[in-house]
Amino acid sequence: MKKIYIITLVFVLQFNIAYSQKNILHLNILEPGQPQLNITVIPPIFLGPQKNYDNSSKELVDKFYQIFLNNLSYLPFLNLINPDELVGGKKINGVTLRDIDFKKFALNKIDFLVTIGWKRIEKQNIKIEIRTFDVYTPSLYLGRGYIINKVVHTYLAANKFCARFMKKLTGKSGFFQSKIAFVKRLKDGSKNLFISTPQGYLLKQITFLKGIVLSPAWSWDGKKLAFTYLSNNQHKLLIWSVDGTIKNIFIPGNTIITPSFTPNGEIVVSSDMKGNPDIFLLDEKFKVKKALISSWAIDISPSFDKNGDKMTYVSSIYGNPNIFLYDFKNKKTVRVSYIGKYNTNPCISSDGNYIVYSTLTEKGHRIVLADLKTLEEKIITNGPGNDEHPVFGPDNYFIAFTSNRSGTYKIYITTKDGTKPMLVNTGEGEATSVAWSKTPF
Amino acid sequence: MLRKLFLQVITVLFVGFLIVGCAKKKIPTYSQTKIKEAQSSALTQEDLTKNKTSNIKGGAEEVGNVNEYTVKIEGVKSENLNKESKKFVLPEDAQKEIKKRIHFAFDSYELNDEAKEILKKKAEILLKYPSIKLVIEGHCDERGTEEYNLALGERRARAAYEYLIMLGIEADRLSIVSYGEERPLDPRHNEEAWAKNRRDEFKIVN
Repeated sequence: MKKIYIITLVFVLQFNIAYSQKNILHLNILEPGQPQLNITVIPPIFLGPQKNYDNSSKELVDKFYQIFLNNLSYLPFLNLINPDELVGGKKINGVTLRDIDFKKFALNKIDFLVTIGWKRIEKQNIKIEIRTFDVYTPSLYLGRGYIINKVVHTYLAANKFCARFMKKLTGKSGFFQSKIAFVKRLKDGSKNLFISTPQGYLLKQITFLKGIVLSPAWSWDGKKLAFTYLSNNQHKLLIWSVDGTIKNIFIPGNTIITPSFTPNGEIVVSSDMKGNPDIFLLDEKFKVKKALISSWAIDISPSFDKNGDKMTYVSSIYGNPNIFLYDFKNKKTVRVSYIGKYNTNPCISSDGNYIVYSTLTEKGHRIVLADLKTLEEKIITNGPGNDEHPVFGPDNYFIAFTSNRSGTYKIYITTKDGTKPMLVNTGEGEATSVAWSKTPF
Repeated sequence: MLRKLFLQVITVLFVGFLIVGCAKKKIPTYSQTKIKEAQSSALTQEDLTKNKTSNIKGGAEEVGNVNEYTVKIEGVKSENLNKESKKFVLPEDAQKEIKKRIHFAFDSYELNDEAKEILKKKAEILLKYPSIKLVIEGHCDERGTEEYNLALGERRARAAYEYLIMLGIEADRLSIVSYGEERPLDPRHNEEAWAKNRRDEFKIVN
């Protein structure tokens, strides 16, 4: 009898564990055909006491709410539902599990319900508690609290929570933990480097040069940016470091373009030191170590996978610019692009499975995703105007690119599935040459 | 005996002279002529906007140290020039000819017949006025992508550079730079503007 009781108990426990594991919402965003989950975020609720309520704190919390909503809008696997449009209204009695009637939200086909509670604590600090509930279980999916007291904290807190949420839901969180660098044309005609989060938050100018900055590339540790600087009839290779210094690298040649970092931290750059643009590897002292790609044609734009086994680049060796892949292990080069006659700006995903590049069509440049396993290519953007210079985000899911679809070149974010591009708020003026860091901020 | 030895030495010297003299004239690449100059250049204070110079610091290859040295030397040079030189001014018609642009087809750096004729006239002027030096700027239209256009601009500038060398101009009188699509002549977005923007420009350097 005792034996039967134990067996039954083990069976019930195993069933419960299996059942609960099955019901934890999880998406594999790298696989096609994933469902879109409905999410609604109830406006922030003041948790009292009433004597501690003040308008400046409320403004900061509202700012957090807007940033949080904006963050979620970048995730195409979530369908953001306006809580005002819910049948039965958005009212909840509090922010915790026991305060919420989940049936109402389930009937509205909401998968995730998010509550935000806040209260003022000592000094000017505000405590914000964010809870995401799985409506169908119903259970707390993720809960975190943050202490904030200035605007910059609202960005950081929203990004931290969204990173945790995305990590739990998809296993990836790079979008909210990475930074982008890009070039902005300023009113004095110069072009300088800026960095921000992928949504355009915490925008900061990092170079103050009088000439033209082009083609920034992040080091794999996110601590350096190599770029071309064009001034006084000369190309220069400069390296910006997070401590604010800029180093001028002297290498032979007249046209010094499209620098890139290998995963080992070495610099690879295209130079015409032999008479036409070839791709060279520099050593740790920034001297030319060897030519990686050398031909009579134009060879530029190297990009590496995380193991440094594969390098994609542009070559005009067949007359027109096309995308090639060099495998360092097999020492073999294969042509990747067969769409169109003008294919440039390649970027290989860090896992080495995909290459994105831009192709010139009759209607302008478009972004192409090439699957290196199946060798299939598909155009994933539709303009209008030109869609150029695609780069993979750290999770190999998001893709940033520049486009003049609004009339001025700006930065947009889509995914490898070609989801609706989202504008990155880079402020006034033209923004081009986006580079995406591969490591957390 | 002594006469025979003398004749042998003369013969060897003569043959050697012939070999050296008749060797094929090799066109130096721009990079070969400019490596030394490039290595001595630096990111000077002039590159930086006034309010942010403090960003650059430390290190032999870095900007701060080099800048101080560069300014000092340039100051001496410019003083001497002011005292001694009377600037040579190229006659107006020659200036006009030198500044004539050449144009290219889309995604091409091939010199067409018209471009070759223009370059021949430039070569005549350069041969006549040996103190004149040129910077050849390669430019592209906006239809290509930024990075590839930088490389293509280089090819366009180099095409003119190599042609002028073939016409007898010394390599050290010419330098090239690619601006890609950064400096369009015509900012419009149509075929007429693009045709104007795919060009080489020639700037006189005193």
